[in-house]
Amino acid sequence: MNTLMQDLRYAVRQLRKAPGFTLTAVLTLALGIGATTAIFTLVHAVLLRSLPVNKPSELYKIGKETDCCVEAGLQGDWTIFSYPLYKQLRDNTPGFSSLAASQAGTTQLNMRRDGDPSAAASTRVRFISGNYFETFGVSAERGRVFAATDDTQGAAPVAIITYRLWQRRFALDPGVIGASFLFNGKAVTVIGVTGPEFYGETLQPDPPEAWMPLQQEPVFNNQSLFQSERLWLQLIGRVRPGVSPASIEPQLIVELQQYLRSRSGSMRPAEISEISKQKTELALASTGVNTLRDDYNKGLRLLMTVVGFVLLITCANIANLMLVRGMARRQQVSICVAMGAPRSRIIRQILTECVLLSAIGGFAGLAIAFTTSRAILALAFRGTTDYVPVDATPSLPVLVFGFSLSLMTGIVFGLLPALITSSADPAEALRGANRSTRDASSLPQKSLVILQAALSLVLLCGAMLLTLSLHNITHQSFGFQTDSRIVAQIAPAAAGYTTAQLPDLYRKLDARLPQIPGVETVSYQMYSPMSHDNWSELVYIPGQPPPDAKSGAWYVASWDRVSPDFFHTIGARIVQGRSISRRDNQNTNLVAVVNQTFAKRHFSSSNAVGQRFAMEPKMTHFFEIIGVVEDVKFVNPARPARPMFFVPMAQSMIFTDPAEQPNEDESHYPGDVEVLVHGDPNPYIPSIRQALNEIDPNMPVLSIGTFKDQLSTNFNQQELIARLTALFGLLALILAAIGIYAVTAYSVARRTTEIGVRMALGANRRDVLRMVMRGALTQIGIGLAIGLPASILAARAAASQLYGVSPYNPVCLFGSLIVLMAAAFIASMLPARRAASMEPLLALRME
Amino acid sequence: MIELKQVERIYKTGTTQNWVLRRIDLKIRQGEFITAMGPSGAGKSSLLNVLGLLDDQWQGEYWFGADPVHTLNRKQRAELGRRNIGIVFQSYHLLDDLTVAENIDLPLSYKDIPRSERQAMVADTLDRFNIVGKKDLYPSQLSGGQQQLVGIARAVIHKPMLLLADEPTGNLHSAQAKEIMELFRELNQAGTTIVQVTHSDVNAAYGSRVIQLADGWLIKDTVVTNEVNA
Repeated sequence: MNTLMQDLRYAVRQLRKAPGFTLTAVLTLALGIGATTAIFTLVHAVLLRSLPVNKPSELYKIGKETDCCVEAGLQGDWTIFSYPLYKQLRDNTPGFSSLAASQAGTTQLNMRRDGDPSAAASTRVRFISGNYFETFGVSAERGRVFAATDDTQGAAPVAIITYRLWQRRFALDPGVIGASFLFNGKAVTVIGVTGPEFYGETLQPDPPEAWMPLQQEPVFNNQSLFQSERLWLQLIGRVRPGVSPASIEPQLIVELQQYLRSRSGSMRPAEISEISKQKTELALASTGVNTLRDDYNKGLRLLMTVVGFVLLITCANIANLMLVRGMARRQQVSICVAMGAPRSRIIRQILTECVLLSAIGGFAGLAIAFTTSRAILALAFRGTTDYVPVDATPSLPVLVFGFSLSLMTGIVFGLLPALITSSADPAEALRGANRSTRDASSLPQKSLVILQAALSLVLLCGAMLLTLSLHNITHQSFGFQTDSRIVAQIAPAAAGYTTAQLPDLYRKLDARLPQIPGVETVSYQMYSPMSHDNWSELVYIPGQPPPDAKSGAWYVASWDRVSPDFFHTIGARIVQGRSISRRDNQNTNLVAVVNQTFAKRHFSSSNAVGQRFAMEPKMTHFFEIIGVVEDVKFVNPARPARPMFFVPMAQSMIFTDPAEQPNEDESHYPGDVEVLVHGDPNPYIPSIRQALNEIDPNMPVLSIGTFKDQLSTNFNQQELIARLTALFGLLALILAAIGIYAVTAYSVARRTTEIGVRMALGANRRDVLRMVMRGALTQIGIGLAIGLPASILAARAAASQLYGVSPYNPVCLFGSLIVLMAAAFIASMLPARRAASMEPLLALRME
Repeated sequence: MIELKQVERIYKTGTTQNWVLRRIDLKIRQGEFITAMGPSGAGKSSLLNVLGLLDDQWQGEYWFGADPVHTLNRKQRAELGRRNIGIVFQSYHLLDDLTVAENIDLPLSYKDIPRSERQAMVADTLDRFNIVGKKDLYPSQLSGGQQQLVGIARAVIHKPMLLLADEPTGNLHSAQAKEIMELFRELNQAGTTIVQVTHSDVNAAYGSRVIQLADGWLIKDTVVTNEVNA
């Protein structure tokens, strides 16, 4: 202990003696450790953090993937369930001590305190089973959580709100608990507030703000899902202690198939034959249902790899600096050895200094991480959400990670210099300058520069590829225009509109919004392009075989219900036939406009206009195709447009299968209003918001902004990855340049006498310049020769993150090569010039 | 061959000035073997640096043959030095990463001499200095005397008119020192003008003339009468 303290004191003194070195090393380490910890903070929060519940390791989700929001029919691999099926599984699976159900998605309801005259606020509500909180082992922060009796027929309507809602909307007013609130005008008592950390079972942007028992769902939904066979619930259970989760899965499959057989009376023969193929999986849900993990998994892993490279470059850099220091201290070490210091003591002394350095760098790095991880988070979810339950504040695992990383970094970069410095031969070193000794650190130093150059090239090339990819994806042809367009998200369902009342809402929208001066056209639709929404359905085409299990995917088409001016308002071009117009109403034939992909897929050899398709197998109602619109991207900007059709808001149909009807009715609720204006759209936002309020003050306007902004939120992840990789690439370039500079400068300093001798023997300044540059650029050349194939391999591995750019893109490969060469040239030119301008006399005297 | 007129060298340290050479007037004739002597700090090495064109911060006149060194620019002085001067260092200053042969080749490598011709010259020199067997060894594998032998071979390979030696035997024992001095005498007898700096009276006896320096002044210039016999 005494020796350790002595080593520590000595290390502090050594670092204080060389403030320039200490500052450079600490800054470099802070950047390396800070970048790595910042990304790890995000990785931990999004991918690794357990649900803030009791014993999360006992929680299992039925169904591996996540689904939203309402489905119907056979699923094959089941992930989403109806309420009757939930009951069946809950009551017949003894392996679970408790099985909870929660709505896959949320319902927007207008919430207002009873007797409060202020306007109701739109609130995201999730319906859950009465045993939900018991299953998670979560208690209330205030009041109480649901009991099983709250989720029974005839029970008093109750709700639980989140701590965040309690804090933001009610300023932590304790009077909220037990108070009566109006949700869409219906009285509900708030009985509790959840803990500040609890966000539900699903880690997602915009999580629910309040919970209600499943039994209350029909009260707020005209087309109730509760007792229907529609699939809208996610199931998470707590496995009984001592029960193997693997033993539960076969039970679940048996129960699922039994349940489906009991319902086979309403199924088609093709479906009945598929029952035996229906299955589900049990997946560990200690991190909950993680939609963010699904979305960000690949991107975060890529970023973690990138920062790993940056950290490696950092280590190489500091190791180089330590080698330089070690050689400068060789004589000192030799004296210690001559005085009888064992080698292990010298190694420990140097390692202590390195670990101390990395600890200081680590602390600075943590500060950087905690500052930047918030900024990274803001960039990752920019504009898409009201709130993301991802916490960027320091947590114990992140602190442990940061500390371990610092310690490891210190040992990694310190070990080599410690071994080399400690191997100094005292006799050799103390003999002085008459017979110069060989520099044992020269080869490792050069190797480290080569490693840095190779890694930097990989990062730079990756950064260039991702930046080019981002440019390609954001500047592609989407099939619509964003200029001069505004999108408002509305929630007529939250204002209590019934389907019968919707035509009146359409009329008001058609009448009021065009009155705003400068407004050219207005459309309203289920959802607008790139609004993170998608509805899809199987289509049935006369003369073509009906979709079955094999051909199902071929017949799936996305669809949207739109108002007459939709295509003009979003700036999409009708390439054949006509657009939907006001004459397409309830009294005329059902019509549809299809996109080019739809037309090509199903009517490749003939003109699609005039053709017909149906949305149900019995084909009692046909949609006549009246026009073909160019492909408009609605969902994934990196994929080609899906086959898609558009039907008029003013038309509806009666499905022969009543289970399909709720979807049909729901599709008439406009979710987005889009407005085409003259010029800059921003000044129109207040007047559009005001007009929507005038149309119905109770109808929540969830968001309003430019169409351009809505589009840009689709590239958050690509932008995050491209920007961070570019930043890390730049950091790598700077670190590599510092490394090359340090090694070249050290080499020049070490070779001062040699340079003096050479000049005394006739070398001119150009010879010296050439000699120094050749040495530095040879190392870089080797590094780049290694880095070039490594860059190609890395780019191939990250190919799934690239859009419209090949992993072998020569511009990026050679561009990054040239940038790195230029940086290396400048970095080595400075010491080389210094060497060349050296006075031979001074150089020789330095001996 | 060489004439210095009122040469002065000043080192500035902060606000103070130190004269290391003061109004030196010196004539060196072709074929002379001059020894510069004097206590430490007398200015011997500084004089050698001026003569060897390693230092260009002096004042006064320096004539190298017909060339007025004092009017030449840095590049012209370097070229003059490269052609006509060889230097032998007390610390040998062999380059550790180069073999004996490569070290000897070094001055030639800075001249426009074809590779084959250089190789022939190196082979001749190795033979002349009797170190052919050591041509592929590195300096660290040689004794001090052998290293200095290589240092001299390197200094004379391009056949300089003037050979400068700063305490060439300072790090050698007496037997090695004698060998080196014998070699110098041979070179001198073959026509090379030599200026050496030494503290050793024995070494000085190999020369033809001794100049004494003290505090930067040339205080005495004597002809050696009791030369060491060959």
